[in-house]
Amino acid sequence: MVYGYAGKILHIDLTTGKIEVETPNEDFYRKWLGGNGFIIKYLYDEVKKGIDPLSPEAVSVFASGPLSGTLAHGAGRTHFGAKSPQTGLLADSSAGGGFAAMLKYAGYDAVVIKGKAASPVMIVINNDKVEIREAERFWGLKTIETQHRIKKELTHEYKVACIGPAGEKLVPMTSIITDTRVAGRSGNGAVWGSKNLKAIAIYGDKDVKVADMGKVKALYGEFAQKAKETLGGLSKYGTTGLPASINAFGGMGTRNMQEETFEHVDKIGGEILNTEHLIRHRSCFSCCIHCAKDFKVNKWDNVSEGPEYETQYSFGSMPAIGDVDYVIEADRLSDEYGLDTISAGVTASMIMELMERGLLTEKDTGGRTFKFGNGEDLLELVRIIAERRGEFGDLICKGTRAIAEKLGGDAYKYAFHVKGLEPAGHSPRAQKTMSVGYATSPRGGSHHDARPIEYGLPPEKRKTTEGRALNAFNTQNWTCLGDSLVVCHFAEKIYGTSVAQAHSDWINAVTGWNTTLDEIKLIAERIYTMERLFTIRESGKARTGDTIPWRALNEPIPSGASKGMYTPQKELDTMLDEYYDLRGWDRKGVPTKATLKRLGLEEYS
Amino acid sequence: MKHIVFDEKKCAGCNLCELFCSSKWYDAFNPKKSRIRIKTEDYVAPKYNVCLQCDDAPCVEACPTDALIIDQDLERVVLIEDKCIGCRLCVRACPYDGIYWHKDYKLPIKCNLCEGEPECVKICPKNALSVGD
Repeated sequence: MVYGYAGKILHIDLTTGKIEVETPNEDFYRKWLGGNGFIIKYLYDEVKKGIDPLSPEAVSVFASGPLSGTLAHGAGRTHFGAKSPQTGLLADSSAGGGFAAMLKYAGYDAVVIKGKAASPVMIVINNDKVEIREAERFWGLKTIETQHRIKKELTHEYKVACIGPAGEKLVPMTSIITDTRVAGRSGNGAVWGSKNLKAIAIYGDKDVKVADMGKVKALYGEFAQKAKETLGGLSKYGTTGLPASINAFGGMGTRNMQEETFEHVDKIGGEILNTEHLIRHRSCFSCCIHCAKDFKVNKWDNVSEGPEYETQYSFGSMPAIGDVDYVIEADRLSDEYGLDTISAGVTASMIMELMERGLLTEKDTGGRTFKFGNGEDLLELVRIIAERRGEFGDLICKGTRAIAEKLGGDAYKYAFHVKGLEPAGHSPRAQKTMSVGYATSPRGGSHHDARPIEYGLPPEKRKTTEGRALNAFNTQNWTCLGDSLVVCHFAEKIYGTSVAQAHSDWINAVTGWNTTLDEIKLIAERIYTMERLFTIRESGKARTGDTIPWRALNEPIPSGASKGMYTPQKELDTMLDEYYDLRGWDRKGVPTKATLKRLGLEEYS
Repeated sequence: MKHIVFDEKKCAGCNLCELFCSSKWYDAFNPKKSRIRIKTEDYVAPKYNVCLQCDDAPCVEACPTDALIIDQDLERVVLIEDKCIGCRLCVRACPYDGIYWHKDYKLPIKCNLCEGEPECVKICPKNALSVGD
């Protein structure tokens, strides 16, 4: 057995009820590490090309990594993956909390689910005992109540992950929730819904053994000390402090990206949240940073964990909501329904702009007007999307790309998405790293592939394309490795934004391997290139699919500190050429045979 | 008697105390081998369970072999492992759910204040744990 790992992967077929345990060899673990590595390996091998993501043949995987269950930073995080019902590409999203750590304590590294149950079920894992149980009584319940009721039946010692009513209704932009933590992006929730899978509950009391306990504790000690010195802001505010600085930088998407500065930013920012709404700080399992916060919605006396920065953008500046109570409430509703706040907020903002421009009328919306700045309008749009209400709800729950395709005409200009996934709140116009980063992400508009690392640079230094492809390449490799370990990306201020020696040190201390920096860099590239192969196989596109939203390509930022910035096609092309060269993909964006060989992926050439 | 005191207002629910405890005493990361337990629930403050080192300890009374005794020097209830027969009566007797059992061991899992310097108090990132009288 390799230290750190459980050594077993669980395979569950919900159609037949068959449950099998696979015990992969050490080569498998060292080649794919965990998390997204396991996910893309199983997706590529077990999902037939071109299948409907919501069909029984589709596969849903969730995985821990070698560091899960240890002291590593945020090593309770869980990685969920499937073929996305939202983009048709890779759905790969990570949730905080402690679900994957519990999976490891139960004796498994990952779970691969296929098939479809005849009626609603939940999977109950109690160490070696794995059962598929009837769960009709939980169907229709929101996420927090679902977890409470399951724990009441099974004991509170269980960790539960579940979907909400939106996932049951197969809304493509749906999440999986565990505790109050969310794997939000690209529709993993709907995949569970399509399988009649309401929840998974896990209890484990087994050991996670590490090769060198002394070294693991020393690494933790160094990390905790540095966290204290450098991440105080995250501990105090979480990411809610970011709107003020990102707004001053001129890159906070506002009114569906018509602008990138928001005049009411102070009303939705970290100060007001932390002085007037904060109830308590929360931590993920085994994390000393505790960046999560429970906030109170003062208007209605509700509580929500979050919002965090991305939601202050998607439910705040994008729909121009200047009353933070509505931002918290929209976040709470989304968590309860099991909805991705980023896609929901950006889609709601698009609806508001389309109505403003007359491209969408009350005839299309069932008689209602939706306006920028109106909190009630935002909440109503969240409910319409989550409940898939009527013809209008059925359309807009599919997101901005689907809306543009349905409406035709100029609507595409106002659809802010990459490969069908709405980008997070890190502007591709204000940061060219994010232009090339979003364009080449296997997930689309994900801020957890390339990272926004140009904050702090003045606009004149951000106008160049020089070095941006390299930024994207390095940060993508680093997030990719983080997602396979599986650890939290918020360690970036400590370990930097490239794959670092510290990552190799952690892996070696836990597993007993002797990985080098070069080896783990290669693992990151391998997983990322495998994700690329999946993107090409499922979309039939390589370079032609690597693009960014119309506004980012054509419309300069009209005002603020990043005024005038955008990324015309010529610049994107320059960066793409450099990027493909760095990856060893040809200029059409396809991995070359030599690259596949270098990465140990010959069998996929 | 001295015991671990918990401040629910400070605890963020990271469970690192459990990982440090189980790794110190059982050389593995396993919250179910921790002598201190933190229970986190959505939207409410975390709760804790640990041996409170009672002056008038029901576990001491329940132990049929005098394996649990009051240690006056370190002001704690301590387990004399050689005397323990693994009957678990102490686990049942504890009114605070502060003593645990794990199938891997023949002895109860009970806080002994780490011989005077509790590991969990040392490492708690939020200073939510302390030693009190």
